[in-house]
Amino acid sequence: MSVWLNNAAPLLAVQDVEVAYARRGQAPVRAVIGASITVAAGEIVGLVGESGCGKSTLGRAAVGLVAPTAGEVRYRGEVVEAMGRATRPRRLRSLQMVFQDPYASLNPRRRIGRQVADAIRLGTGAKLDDAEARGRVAGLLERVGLSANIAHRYPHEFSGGQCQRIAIARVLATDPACIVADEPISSLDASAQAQIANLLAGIVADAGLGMLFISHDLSVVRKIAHRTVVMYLGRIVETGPTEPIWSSPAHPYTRALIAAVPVPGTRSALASELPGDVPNPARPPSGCRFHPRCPDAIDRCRTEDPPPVEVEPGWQSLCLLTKPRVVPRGPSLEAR
Amino acid sequence: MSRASVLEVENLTVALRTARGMRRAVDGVSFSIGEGEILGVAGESGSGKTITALSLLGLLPIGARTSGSVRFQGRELLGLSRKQLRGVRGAQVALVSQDPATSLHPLLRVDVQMTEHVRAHLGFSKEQARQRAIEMLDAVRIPDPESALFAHPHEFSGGMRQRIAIAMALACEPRLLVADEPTTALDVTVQAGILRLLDQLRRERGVSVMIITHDLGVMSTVSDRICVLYGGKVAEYGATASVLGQPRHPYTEGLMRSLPGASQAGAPMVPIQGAPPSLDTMPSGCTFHPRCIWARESCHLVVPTLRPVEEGRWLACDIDPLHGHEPDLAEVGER
Repeated sequence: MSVWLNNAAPLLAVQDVEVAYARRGQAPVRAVIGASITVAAGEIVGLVGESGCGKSTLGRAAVGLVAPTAGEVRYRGEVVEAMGRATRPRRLRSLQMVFQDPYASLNPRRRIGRQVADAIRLGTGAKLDDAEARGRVAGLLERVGLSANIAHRYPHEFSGGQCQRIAIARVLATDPACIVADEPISSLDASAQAQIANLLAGIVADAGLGMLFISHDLSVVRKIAHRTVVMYLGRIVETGPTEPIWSSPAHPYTRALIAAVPVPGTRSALASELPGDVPNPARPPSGCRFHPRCPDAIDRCRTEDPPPVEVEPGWQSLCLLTKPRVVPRGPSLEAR
Repeated sequence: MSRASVLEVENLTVALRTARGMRRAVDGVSFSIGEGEILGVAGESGSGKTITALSLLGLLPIGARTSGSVRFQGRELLGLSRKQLRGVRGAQVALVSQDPATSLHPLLRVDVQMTEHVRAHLGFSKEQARQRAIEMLDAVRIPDPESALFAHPHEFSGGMRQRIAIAMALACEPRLLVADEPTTALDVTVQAGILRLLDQLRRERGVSVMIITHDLGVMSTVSDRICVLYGGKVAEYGATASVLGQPRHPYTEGLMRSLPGASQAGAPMVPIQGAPPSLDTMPSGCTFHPRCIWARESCHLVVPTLRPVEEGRWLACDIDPLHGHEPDLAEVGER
């Protein structure tokens, strides 16, 4: 569908991916349709949308946890196959995932140090003796801001934020080049959210990793993501560089999402509400999927599939009403 | 506050039974809620916010010991018998919990869930209770309330389910609604609708609301006053606009500073270091001192008392960062 203007070859390329969940006796639910995302090394791509929009499904497809029904995912140019429970091929071991709930993703009955050491052995294939493993584990724990002497303890002894650090240490143990983080901060305490978001952003900056950061917390995405992808009901509706999208969103849905975020510290008017709920993905509306809730919808939106419109180079909006923005040239014309 | 108080909590202390003995989860907490007022209670896990809420409803875990006073419309709630509590709970003080998927019974139709307590508390007939349920569903803007009554919870979206949970809580016309993280499980677009609804309820029906949330954005938009809890104690208490606009407790100040929008574009966020204490690791002195960039030696030893600092504003910090001290950044270190 779309070709990214990206100088570097992407690390992770999701191309026209569709994921449909089969249902007995009924038409399949198309959770993700025609989605294309690229993630380059050193880049954080934020993926936002309401619950049920398909952002987690897309994230899982990106690492091969679910199989796309159409399209493909390429990691370093090679196709990412969905895995089942089989061993992950070696070439994919540096494509990793951080999950939402660290208590669920860590083994509650195995000491932290051993879990991280397992990841080193399985993820990199390194043959380590115990002393070497201890040293590597200590380094990893310190890298995520924990003390090395907690290696003999169990996950339940730690807070949510600390457990998420441990889960991140375990991902780093595999020496990843690309991480998909699915709501990595949303189950954490207020002060831990900023700590973990900083940690992830720091890891990307230091190690030149690529990261797909899935979150419903728009303000954090604005803070750390270089590019933002907005999904609605299975479709990517807007994608482009983060700051311009935030300051002047092109798609009506993106505008509504941003307007709904309450601003702390100001007795602002109540944030505006987007009327209605996300429709059932099994029975999506005709035409533009957003039209029943869209304040700007016109008759054509009911029947026509919206085309991708290039707002500016590298910035697209899936809306009939989006107009390309002409960047003014010459010294006399100040920016809009 | 000129409004009459609906709820007055004074020096509430709750000790919970843990594997290692009794531990204070709430320690000397005081606040009040006026009629039609929305009080926000902010705090992280372990701050005592949920235990405070449960003690208002007599829903504390078995073995919990309470002291202090919780007066609702002048009546002491602590120490009421189960039977006496039953007359208050659900009827005059109602709870909306975080996750509507778990607070609604999945197997019962909405009409069963929405009429049972109305008939029990108010002695309504089946038909009267049904009418009340329709009225309440309409008030929370559930489309087509009459057919909604015949549906099961799973047929609704998360936002709709939370609206139904609120309608259920309102059905007996309580004077106080305790909302424990009512929008945390919801999307921002849906959250805005629920917050508008709470605001409308207090204006039109004079319902008082205690809203528990760690989302300071939510707090700023709906609450009139805010009570910031940390480690089971009140850190700061006062009008929301002034507490969040000009925080005086280092914890509140740290929370505001850690928000994504508070730091410079391109610069990392500035989180509060460390993690909140658990019941077993509650620090001595000021419970916030291990994470406080302003902490002095005395903070390790002396428990700060909650004192009035301005009209209607209370602070439990002996340092008070606004009054000309420099933070000791070196001692806390970078991580």
